[in-house]
Amino acid sequence: MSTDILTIAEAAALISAGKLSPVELTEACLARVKVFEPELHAFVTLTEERARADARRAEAEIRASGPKSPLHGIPIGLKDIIDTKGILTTCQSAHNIGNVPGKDAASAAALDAAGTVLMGKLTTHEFADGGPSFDLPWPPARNPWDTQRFTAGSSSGTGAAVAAGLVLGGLGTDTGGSIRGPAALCGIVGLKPTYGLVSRAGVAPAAYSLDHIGPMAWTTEDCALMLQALAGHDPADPASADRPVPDYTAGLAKGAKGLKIGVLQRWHESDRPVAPAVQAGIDAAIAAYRSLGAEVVEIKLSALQEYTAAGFFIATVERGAAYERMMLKNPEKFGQRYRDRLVFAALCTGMDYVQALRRRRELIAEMTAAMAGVDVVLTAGNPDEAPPIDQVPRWDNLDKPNFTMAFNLTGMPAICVPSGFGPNGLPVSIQLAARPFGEAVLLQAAHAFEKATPWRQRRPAMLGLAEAA
Amino acid sequence: MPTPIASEAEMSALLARTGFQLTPEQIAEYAQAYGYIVEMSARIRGERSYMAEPAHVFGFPNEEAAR
Repeated sequence: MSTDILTIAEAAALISAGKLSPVELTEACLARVKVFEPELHAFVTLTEERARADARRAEAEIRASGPKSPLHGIPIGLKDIIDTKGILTTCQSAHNIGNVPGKDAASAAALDAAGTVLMGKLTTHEFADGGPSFDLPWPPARNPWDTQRFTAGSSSGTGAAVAAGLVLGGLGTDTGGSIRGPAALCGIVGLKPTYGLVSRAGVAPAAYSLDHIGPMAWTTEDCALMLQALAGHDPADPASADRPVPDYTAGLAKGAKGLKIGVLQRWHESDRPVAPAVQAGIDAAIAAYRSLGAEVVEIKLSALQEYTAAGFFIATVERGAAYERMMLKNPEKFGQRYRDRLVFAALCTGMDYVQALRRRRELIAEMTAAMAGVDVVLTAGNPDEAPPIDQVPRWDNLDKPNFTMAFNLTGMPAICVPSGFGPNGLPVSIQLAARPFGEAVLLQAAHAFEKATPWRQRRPAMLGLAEAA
Repeated sequence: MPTPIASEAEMSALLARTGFQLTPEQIAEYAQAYGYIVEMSARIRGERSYMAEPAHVFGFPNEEAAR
């Protein structure tokens, strides 16, 4: 591990043993924020006083009766489309200047109940789509590995803040890859859980039937610890699943022996050929799993473009419906990139939407059948390293399929895990996915890969840390 | 980039419901993007029967169904 920045699991162990104070930990994060935030723009709102108060309270509670969870006293941040009681929640939009919710989102409340320290609200794209944007009231987040590079989005601030150690973990949301994209480009781990596992209540919608809330952290184990606090039934979310929540950390140490890994070769080899560094990461993952005793097989699905097209129509029309009222009332308040997305909604028909829903049913059936014979599937997280932030194509979501939307469309859990570095010294990632509610085996497989590779030893150079041995 | 397949007048009609005040240049840009959307719309239209249901179906909450 890096020598200066702790993971959640490491900090929790030290806090539990009385060797680390939540106040000390929080002050270390705040000190990094002071140094690096002017370059990174990871925060829309830094809740410094709230963080100190949370940390003092956690310290007193732990001293009195021990930690109530592994997250007790851990500094975290929330993507700024997640409602927070009494704290500005902007959705990065001029529409929401001055929007202070009266209630926490269910996910924010769950992390608060686990004893976390809220450091602040993290940068996103306007209403979680369309960035990077330079015409909004707040600047886009910058990638800590190279501040001239894109973080991906829309959980861009969470990706940057976790990679730079400004927070130990954070919440993102994912409608077509918005957790996994920033995780891939910022060199961290990002988990999109199964649709319905984590409540969406109190989170601004991007597209109702594709939206997921999930953890982003430096390691898979940290994501498992966060998911444990987040998962569970919530009647306030109509899509919430009412089913038992397993122990997500119990199986992490099992390794990959006996697992069956299905590789979706056509997606990253022909449907959207990836950069050599990304392919090398996939090849290394295959080799690692074989050496760990897993069986690796090829599985076949329809072209990535089929999944992306159905997801595009569903996302576009649901987004348009959600924000139609704002669009008609105050259209001038939207930035250009989000305006583009809303205009697309006007270019789709009602028949397009229903045809996409019918295609969705077919693709869910196809993916379900393909996954029946394997424990997890493996493909790319992102096709390449992070591009320069000012060279992200305007029609990026139209002209090429991405690797993430397929699992929003089918609702299945997926995780991006770092798999190396490209020629520019920037992180690349693999993506693993599993059957619905298969987070335990997904995390097990991701953790096994992570432990078999050295990619968690290196933090961004701007932090000036020595690489751990 | 696909060839624009809609005239400015057609695009203006489609975009009128958005509320955005768009310049002819902006409308021309969206006409370019529209080509991608038409391409994708062909992908989601298969040879399926009219009996094929969409993925979103209406369901009652468990407590309602149990009454």
